[in-house]
Amino acid sequence: MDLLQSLTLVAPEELLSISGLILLLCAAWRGDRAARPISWLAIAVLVVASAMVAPALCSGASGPATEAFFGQFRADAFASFAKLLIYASAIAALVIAPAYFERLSAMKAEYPVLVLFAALGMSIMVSASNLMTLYIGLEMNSLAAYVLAAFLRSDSRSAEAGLKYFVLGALASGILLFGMSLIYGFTGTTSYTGIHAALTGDLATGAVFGIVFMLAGLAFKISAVPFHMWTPDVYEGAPTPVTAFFASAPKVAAMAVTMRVALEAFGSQVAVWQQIVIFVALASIVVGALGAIGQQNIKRLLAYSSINNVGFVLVGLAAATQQGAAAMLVYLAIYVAMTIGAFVAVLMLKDHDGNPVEAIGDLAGLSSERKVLAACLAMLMFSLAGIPPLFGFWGKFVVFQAAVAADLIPLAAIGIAASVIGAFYYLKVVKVMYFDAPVGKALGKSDWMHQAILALCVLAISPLGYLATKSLGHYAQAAAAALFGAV
Amino acid sequence: MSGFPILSLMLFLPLVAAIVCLFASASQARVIALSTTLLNLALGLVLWNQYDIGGAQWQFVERLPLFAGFDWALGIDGIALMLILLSVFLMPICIGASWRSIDKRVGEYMAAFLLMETLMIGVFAAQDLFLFYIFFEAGLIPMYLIIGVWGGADRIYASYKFFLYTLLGSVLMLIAMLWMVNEAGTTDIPTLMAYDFAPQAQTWLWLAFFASFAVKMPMWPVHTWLPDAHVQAPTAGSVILAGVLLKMGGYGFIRFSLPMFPEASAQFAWLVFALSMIAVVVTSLIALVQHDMKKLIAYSSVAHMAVVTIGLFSFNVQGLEGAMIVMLSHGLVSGALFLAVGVIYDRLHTREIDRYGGLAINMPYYALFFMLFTMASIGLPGTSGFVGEFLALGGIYQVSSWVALVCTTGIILGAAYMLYLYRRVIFGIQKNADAAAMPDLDRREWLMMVPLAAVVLWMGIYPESFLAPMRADIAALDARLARAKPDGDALPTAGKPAKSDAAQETKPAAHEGSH
Amino acid sequence: MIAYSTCSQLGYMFFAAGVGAYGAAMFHLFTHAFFKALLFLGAGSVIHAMHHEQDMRYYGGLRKHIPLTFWAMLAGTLAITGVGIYWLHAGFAGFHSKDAILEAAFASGSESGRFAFWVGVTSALLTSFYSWRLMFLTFWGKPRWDQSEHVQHAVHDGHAHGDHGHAQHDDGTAGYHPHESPASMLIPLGLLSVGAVFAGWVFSHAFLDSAEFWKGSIAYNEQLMHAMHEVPLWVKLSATVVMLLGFATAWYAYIRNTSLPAAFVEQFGVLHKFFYNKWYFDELYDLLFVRPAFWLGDKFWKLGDIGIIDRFGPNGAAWVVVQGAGYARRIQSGYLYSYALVMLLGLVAAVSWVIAR
Repeated sequence: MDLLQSLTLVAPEELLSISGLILLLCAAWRGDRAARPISWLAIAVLVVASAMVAPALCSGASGPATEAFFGQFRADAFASFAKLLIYASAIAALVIAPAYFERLSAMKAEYPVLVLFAALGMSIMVSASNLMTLYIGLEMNSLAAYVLAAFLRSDSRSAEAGLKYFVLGALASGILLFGMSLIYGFTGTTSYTGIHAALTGDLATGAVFGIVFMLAGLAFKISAVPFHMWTPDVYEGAPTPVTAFFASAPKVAAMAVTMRVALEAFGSQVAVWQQIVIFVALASIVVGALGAIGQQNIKRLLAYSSINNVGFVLVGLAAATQQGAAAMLVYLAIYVAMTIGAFVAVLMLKDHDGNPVEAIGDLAGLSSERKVLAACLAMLMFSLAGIPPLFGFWGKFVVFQAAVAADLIPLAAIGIAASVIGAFYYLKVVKVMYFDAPVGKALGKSDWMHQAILALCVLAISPLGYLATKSLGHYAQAAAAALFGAV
Repeated sequence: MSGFPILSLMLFLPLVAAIVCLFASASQARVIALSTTLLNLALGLVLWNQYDIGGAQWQFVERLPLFAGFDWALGIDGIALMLILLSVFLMPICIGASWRSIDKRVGEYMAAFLLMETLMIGVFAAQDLFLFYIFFEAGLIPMYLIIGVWGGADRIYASYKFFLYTLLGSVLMLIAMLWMVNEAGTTDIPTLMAYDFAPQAQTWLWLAFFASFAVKMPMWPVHTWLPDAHVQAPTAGSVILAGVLLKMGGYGFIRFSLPMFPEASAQFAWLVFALSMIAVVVTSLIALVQHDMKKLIAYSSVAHMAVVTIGLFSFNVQGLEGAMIVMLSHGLVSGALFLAVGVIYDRLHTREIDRYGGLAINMPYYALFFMLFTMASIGLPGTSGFVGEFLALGGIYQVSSWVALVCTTGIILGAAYMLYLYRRVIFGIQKNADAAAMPDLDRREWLMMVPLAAVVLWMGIYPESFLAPMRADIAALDARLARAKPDGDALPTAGKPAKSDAAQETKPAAHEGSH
Repeated sequence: MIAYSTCSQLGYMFFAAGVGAYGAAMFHLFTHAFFKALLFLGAGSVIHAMHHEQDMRYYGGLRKHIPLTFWAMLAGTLAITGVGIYWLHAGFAGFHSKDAILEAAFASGSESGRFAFWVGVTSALLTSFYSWRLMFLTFWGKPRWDQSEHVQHAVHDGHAHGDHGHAQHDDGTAGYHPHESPASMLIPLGLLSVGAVFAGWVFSHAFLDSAEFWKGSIAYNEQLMHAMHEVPLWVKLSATVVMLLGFATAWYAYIRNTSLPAAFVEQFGVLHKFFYNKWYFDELYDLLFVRPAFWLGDKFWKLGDIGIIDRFGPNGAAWVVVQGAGYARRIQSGYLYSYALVMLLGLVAAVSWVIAR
């Protein structure tokens, strides 16, 4: 394998890093006046990067031909699927940001650059097929994310969010790194395939420790219970466009990495982690749902909702089958549309002076004041709750289908029963908007870009989404096949 | 059979109208909704007319492999045909009932109802397991909004209770469906109806389906959402809820539980019987002490639905036919009763029975219609109620005379609470001046009452029109169930030519459980 | 009153069926249809005439006011009391059928048959008495309707329209003059009267003495039918005798000596009250069925549905969920160290689990 071939395989990442650096220079040179053009350029870069990764997915690339740098990096269909979701989320985060930050006069030129670097980090993460590459990508993403969380420097909540994220993220990274070193110590390799081959038969206690520590570190990134504690605080404190980004792209990336690590590297030791994943999945579903009940802030509520959703995705992981992996990818795709849609809707909730409205109580009677927005938000809520005919149902459907096919019927039964608890708080938002008397708070005009993104997301999660099930399922299958074909 | 996709048309017509209604003014929305529902009624009648009795079991079949994992598959048999007709028949009446009483957010209201119509038809027409589930579950959303936005004072509690109760019931069914599809390798309902699952698995699958349908039905003790939902919903909401949504539970039993899990159905028949017996007696007694008219009728619905379950699980043709007719009849009669309550609620804005009295004097025509529907609810011969209850009880008598005995008490109690209600509202002295000043039915209300009354009498006098399309399907179901049929404890014999001694009496033998 | 009398006539039919005389039972049902319908319609006509007054103690002397109704009612009464002459085999409808039942009861020969016979005879006496009481109170004597509220209403309405002056009436009529019912009510009365008079005589043979008539639709007991013609003469006459006795008593109490009923009430107050309140059957039903039903309904509703099912079902689940939500929020303190602690505890738990497994 020659260098040129490797460089071709990592072309999207090269594009992202080089353009990120150039844009950073522009930002330093032109200052915040250039924020908008830089945003548009970043979007263009991401669109091009998406176009570059798409062929791998369409052709269902897998096997040695996708490996770059002697197995350090793998540009297969699975990575491509995840990257497309990540880039789409990043684009959305860039499109919705200017209208939000400009009102606060905080539209800094660094924002698009940070998003680009975060996307680059995630891109590397999902393509990583070696513990070292994984860690580099993870940290690259995390560092950009810490800054993004604290992006509104003058806002104490934003600063607090950044600090909390950083400290706990450092702790999680430490756990992950410790797990990696244990694995390396007991297997003598950092390559996924090598680990897979080495971890056979009865494991030494240290190797088991390594597996658990690594999964715990990744669980922090996907904010699964009990490593979820940072999520509500960070989601609430961070600026809303950043929260929308956090809730979508890094979730996809971290979940994809978890899938790769669990199914590829530890795929020979499913029995060790399966029960933990089952427990974490159920705990996430229940705690996410319980935590959301009684929340007054809609961003906080959506944070718990994301914890809840992670639980459902993990149900697919617990199945530890190719079908389960495909189901997870389908779920993630739908989840991205729902979560971005929900946060954009939140962004659009503004009072007369343009101040954001985040208290759920202030949404009272929204349906008679802003009919379309309320209808969109209600559809998103029903979709998140997984009520058919909205497309959110399909995600839960495929995940539970995989669990049932893997004979995890108790898990499926408990999980789906617990989803009813979740339905309660989604219903509450609908109730406040539709049943309560109007309070006349959220009357402000919204930006056309927000409207466009919201319309796209709502269209995706509407019943029309079912028409996409065939192609979505096909690509998810191809991606999952690449994942399982790697070992 | 024509290749024209009439079922799809019936599904999409209200859906499109619903979207249009969202953007229409109040008066436009009313007209759109009414004309759409009438058009759908006409399509329903075409369906009935074109339905080939004695032809293929599944007619008007459509199949489009649009989705991954399931198909857009529609098709009806006689049972589904009748329930679809019930839905499309009640819809224009519901729109009429809301014509004036709904004055806020009319467009959205009509849209919710039209969406409801799409989903109801979808439930009965779906031939794909998951398509059925989607329609079945989706009905929660418009109903939640109808109760919550246009409901009474305590609507929020009621809407939550309705939504979460029924959701919890049905999610387990989804897991069971996933398992079934995984096992049988198809989502096609007709194929699954003939698939023999292992008896061990049937037990679990049956219980999962039971959880859903029992809540939807509703059966005691998971019925408590119903009185709340009924009381708080607007009149038309109650009509649809009682008229069609409850039938989905019965339809589920007859389409899924019985044919797909015959052994488990026989195994759990005792459970159904026990719950139904309790329901008939307990809810009838509860209905007796209600002060709220709608609550009374809601509890009576629970009792009537228990007769349906009894009939369904009697495992014979009579019981099944009876259950179907009770469902259709109850759909009409309870709908009509809710409508009747709505008529006076619109005038006085209270459902307290004590606030009325002596309405026979100032509203004689109203009293007449109310009388007819009361009698139909009691099951007076000549009305639809009698035919169904008689058949259902006749069916169960062949299985267990004790169950039949207890359920018959329910009929007597039914007469008690309905007549007691009628006496308090219609007869007696006019003790409230405002109630005494209420005008009789206006033309719009006549137009709603007359068709209902006509069909109630039609079904009572000539039920054959309604039984004929279902006969072959019920016979097929009976044949399917034959292998699991429990032995009855009562063995009625045909009456012999009388001898000089006392007439042949069918003596109930000792009770020996029904399992 | 007529409805109660129906119950007693139904009693006849049932005991006829009980002793095996199905033909007689059917025959009585047949004749009863005529005269009871006649009596009901007649009563309706009277009530109509008396402006919805149904209490016959407020009637009296109506014979002159509504003669046609009177004659029809008379026919009915004669039929129900079973007036007829044994030797001629001719009488009103009830004569044939009731006698047949009594004879059949006697002829059946069993203990219970005898008992039924005597009960039947006794109730024939009572039937005669109450039927004639009705006739006497309604059509004979003096008008007594000045005390009736219904009639007073009618009179006052009339006054309000200014037809009359405020004349004093001391004849018990309060100025109200009952009027005959219209032809639409009288024609059925006439038709039924014919039936009440002749139905028994004409159909007696067909119903009682021929197996052919029934063509096997009911069991025909040849032996019993034969035996009932062979009973002693006193049995055959007993019904007629008690009928006359009842008539005489009624005549004595309500025409001759009208103070007698009051005296009777005074002397046997408890008994009268017992009978007057219909043996307290309504009260008994109320106590046995109605009240427990309401009580049970109330308990099932408030204790069962609301107190148990809702409390421990949906509301209980909601309570548990809300409690859980409270805990979930409390753990979410906002302090970094507690977050880190939870993470580490989770890690320890996971490690312990995989090691211990």
